[in-house]
Amino acid sequence: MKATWGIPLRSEGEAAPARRTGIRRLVPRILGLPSDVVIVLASTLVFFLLWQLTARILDNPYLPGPAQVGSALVEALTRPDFIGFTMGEHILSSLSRIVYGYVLAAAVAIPLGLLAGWVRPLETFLAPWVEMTRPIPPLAWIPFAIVFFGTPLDAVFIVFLASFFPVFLNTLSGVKSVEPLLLDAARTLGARKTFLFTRVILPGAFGHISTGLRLGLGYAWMSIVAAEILGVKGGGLGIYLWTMHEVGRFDSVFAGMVIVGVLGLLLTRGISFWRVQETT
Amino acid sequence: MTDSSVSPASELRVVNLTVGFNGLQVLEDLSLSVRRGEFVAIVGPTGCGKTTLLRAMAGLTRPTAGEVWMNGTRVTEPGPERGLVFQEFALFPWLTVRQNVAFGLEARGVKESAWSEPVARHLQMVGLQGFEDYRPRQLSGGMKQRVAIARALATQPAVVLMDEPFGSLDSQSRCEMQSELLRVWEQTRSTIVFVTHSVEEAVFLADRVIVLSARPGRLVADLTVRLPRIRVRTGQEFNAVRAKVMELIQPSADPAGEM
Repeated sequence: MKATWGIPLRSEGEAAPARRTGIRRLVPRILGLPSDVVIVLASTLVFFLLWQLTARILDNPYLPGPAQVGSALVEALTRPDFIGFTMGEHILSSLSRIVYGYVLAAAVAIPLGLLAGWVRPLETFLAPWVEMTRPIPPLAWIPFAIVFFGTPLDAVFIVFLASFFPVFLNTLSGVKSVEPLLLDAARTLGARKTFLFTRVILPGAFGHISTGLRLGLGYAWMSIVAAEILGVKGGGLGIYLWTMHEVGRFDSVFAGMVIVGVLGLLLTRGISFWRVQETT
Repeated sequence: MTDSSVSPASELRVVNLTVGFNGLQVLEDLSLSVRRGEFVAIVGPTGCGKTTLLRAMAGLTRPTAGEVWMNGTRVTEPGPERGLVFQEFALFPWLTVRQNVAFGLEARGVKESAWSEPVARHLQMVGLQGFEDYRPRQLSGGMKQRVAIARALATQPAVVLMDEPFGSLDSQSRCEMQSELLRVWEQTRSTIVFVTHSVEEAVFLADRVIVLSARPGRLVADLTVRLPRIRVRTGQEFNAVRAKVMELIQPSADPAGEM
């Protein structure tokens, strides 16, 4: 399972091509910048131009231009909204829901995944449960969650569901991907059950577990905003979006989207940075 | 802790061993014994069950029939008195060289204060001082196998089982490792059972060369090599022994012609 939330430019460390080939040859070197940087800058510029142009041509109140969104963004970040919530408070409520749901999911999914990967009958036992619940999108649980759990547990529950499966399934496959040869080696060196588990299985599955954690966080972020829009109560970025929609402030809706996007990027980047740090 | 120099006569015995997997007979009614301090090489055509024999000795593979005895105790699982060195090194990639070598001692509950000296000694024995904090992926094949050998020896097993340990090395580091192994063996005086598909390697290293037939593996010959060490690979006597072993392997390998 692979998910790239951002557009990958070129992975760090990869050497620039020696010869400017294909499309790159058409790109002039500006200010001595590498051609990829020039392309990215140009692409960003074109994006904003197209946006501005579309907004101007359509002249639709629901599609504000970049300048309007920019000033709404400044407003959103500097002043509380008309209900009295500051953006900081919205962000904090969304994040706290994420943290509770995500930490809870990881706390259940990692041990359970480790155990299921280690004890074959448990894996077989859990398989039908996973296969039955996993195809149901977390958001489909919202109507139930709202009445059953109520604020704020409903949102925590949704985030839990969203992040549980990637963490659980990756942990499980991590355990199963530990090389049998390493287990044999450990056993001939005298390792018994507990030692084998903590010193071979756990570190051997670490890469998969951190991939699961990263994916889980991405899903959690996607689900929280939707869950907040769909009826979870209190402050939150989704609630901000929905409130602004209700009052027709579409510049603020877009400003909220920008904040959601940036935070989502920071979250997933943050955890992949952590992953890189851990493995090297 | 077992100390190979004071432990009672360690003898490894394989009695009427038969191993099959899903109806495929790999070893058939094989019996042999290894005396304490002996260097025994096992050769045979590809797929003759050399590795299976070694794994059965290690206690990793359960026999279909027959048994393996170690010092009068029946082998049913891996044990600290039998170390195993794999062809694929099987080092723990997340541990440093030092931690890899310490693994067996730590598994036995030995604290770092107690294992640091023997670990350092074994690293020095295989010529790896200065590489203690490297990770396996930073090492060459030959160096990885040195780590694996040090790791197997660190717990001072009475018998070291080696499964084509130099099979994946280039011929130069292979020769170098063979001489190193003899030097280490002379220092530790542990019993070595060495599986290889190279007849030259077997004759260069071993006191005894055991020849297995093509699958299902049976005992074809048990030859004592009486050449003094260090043996000269180009010597006439060396080549005579080598030719004899080759001859013992070939007839059984040809008609089968498999793998």
